[in-house]
Amino acid sequence: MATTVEDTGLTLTAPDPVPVVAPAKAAGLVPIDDAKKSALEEKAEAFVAELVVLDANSPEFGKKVDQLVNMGRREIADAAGQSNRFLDRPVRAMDQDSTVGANLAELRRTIEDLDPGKKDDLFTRKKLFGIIPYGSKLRDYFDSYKSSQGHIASILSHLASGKDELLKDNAAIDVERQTLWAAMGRLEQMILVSKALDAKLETSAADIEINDPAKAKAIRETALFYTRQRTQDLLTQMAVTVQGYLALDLVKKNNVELIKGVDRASTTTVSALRTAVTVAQALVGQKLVLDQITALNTTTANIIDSTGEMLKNQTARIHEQAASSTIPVETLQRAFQNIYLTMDQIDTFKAKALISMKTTVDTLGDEVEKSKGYIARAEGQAQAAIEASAPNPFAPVE
Amino acid sequence: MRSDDVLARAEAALQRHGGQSRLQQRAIRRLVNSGKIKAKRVLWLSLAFLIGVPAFAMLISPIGIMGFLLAVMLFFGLALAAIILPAGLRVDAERLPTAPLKSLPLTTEVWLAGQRRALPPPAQRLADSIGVKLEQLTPQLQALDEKEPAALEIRRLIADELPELVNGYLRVPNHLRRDGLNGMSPDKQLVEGLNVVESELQRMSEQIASGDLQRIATQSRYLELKYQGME
Repeated sequence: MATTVEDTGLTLTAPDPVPVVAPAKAAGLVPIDDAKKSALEEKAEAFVAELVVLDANSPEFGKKVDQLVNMGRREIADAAGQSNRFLDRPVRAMDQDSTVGANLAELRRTIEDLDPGKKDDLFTRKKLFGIIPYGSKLRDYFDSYKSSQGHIASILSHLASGKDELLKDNAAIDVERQTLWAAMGRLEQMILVSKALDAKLETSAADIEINDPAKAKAIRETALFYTRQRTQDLLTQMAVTVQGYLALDLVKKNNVELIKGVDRASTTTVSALRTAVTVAQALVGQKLVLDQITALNTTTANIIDSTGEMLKNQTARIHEQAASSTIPVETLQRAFQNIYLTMDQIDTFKAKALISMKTTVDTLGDEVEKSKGYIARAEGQAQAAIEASAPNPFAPVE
Repeated sequence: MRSDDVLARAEAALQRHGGQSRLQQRAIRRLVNSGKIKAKRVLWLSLAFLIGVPAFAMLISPIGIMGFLLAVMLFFGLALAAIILPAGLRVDAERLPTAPLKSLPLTTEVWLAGQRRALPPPAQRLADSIGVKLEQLTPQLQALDEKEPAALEIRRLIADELPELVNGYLRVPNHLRRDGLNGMSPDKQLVEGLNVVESELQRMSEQIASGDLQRIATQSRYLELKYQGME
């Protein structure tokens, strides 16, 4: 049979939640080409070489150390600014499908009203009391399509615009991921520099240990200390950003699945209506004219390219069947079953996806909170650095 | 092949801009503008004399040949003054914080151009390129709300911090500007500060534009997704 319920062939898989990314594993995810790598390492080397020849007590030394304190501050702030937004998106995705969901629910209600399975007396009560011919129940039933068609058409067009919203959301996610990728590339470079600085500072402190123990101590306690702190901050922010990047992908996959579901719900609905038209023709010789649905046929088939083809084949078979079959109402019932099946699948998918999304949002929220702590500390240090350069309140009296 | 292509493109660009950098163009425009203002002054002056002197002679009292000569001399003196006096708008730094955001960059630009003469040569060049940046920023600020953080940031930078830097420099007596005291060189610090202002302006302009950049990228991606299939 052409319209068996298995025919929908629709599988909606809820994506897995995004795992926690450990800061230690965050680095190295974005590749940096070798030319850039060596250029960055040279920078670090030149910086340490300049630092080592300076007097550890001179203001120039302090200035250099300040540069270390501020290293990557902008990169972290940039990435953090984006992290607030990417947390926002999955949260919105969780309640955003309310429009699509509401439309699907309404479609279901309307379809249930038309379901021939719910009207098992279609044939039995053709004649009132078995004597008086009462007109045709079937005829009445098919007439109800005419009154519903406007409603169904409007639901379908709502669903189509809901799908557009989802697509727009995905487009925005693609762009956001692109900028996030760039931000991650910059963070990665800063991490590389700070790690190179760490190594160079360590070795040069060891080198001058014997000749100038005071300077070696100063380098270890200021320059190296701040460098390590910055490395940690950068890695923390990187971990959060990577996680956000993955979370965005999750939202996108979710949307893609939901779009598939909406597409299929629309297709199966249109298919059922077409079947009804054919069955009406076959059963009661009634030419059921569903203007709006005919118009929808063409537009929907055009919009849904992937399923359009299937829809066409299916309808051809329905025609064939309904015309020849002795049980055309059953064909119609199957068409309705297809709609229910699709909608049930969407519901199951949504339930599963919601769990994934919630887990992701929770872990991401935690990580963002953690990184905010780091950023607050970094900001505090920057503030302190500015205050330190202000005039000394204990300046000598002249 | 490729270098030919590059050369051809460079030549085209040079021709397009008349072989002048933007800064030169601005300098020329400044000159033309002040010339226009001065010509206007002289025009009004001669009009006033052409009407005023005969009117005075006819209505109040005849002025005689000596009076006429005196009037002619007065006219030439005033015309000379009109040409020598500097033309162009003058803006006080005090007015900057209250200027509306939409016209703030241009007001600051005019103010900065007024200070230009007093600055050392490297700072003059920086002031010019800051002027260009301010000019580029103006259309971007038209749609920006005064209360947005980005707007406040810009206002602080160009209405408060930049004038503070330049005025601070100008307060230093002339003989101390180059070498300063205790290893501080105001000239050098001014240039460093202006450098920071310039790069900040660039960054802010990019930041304001980023929303629009994202919007257009999103829309084109959306069209791709919708009409050219998923993925």
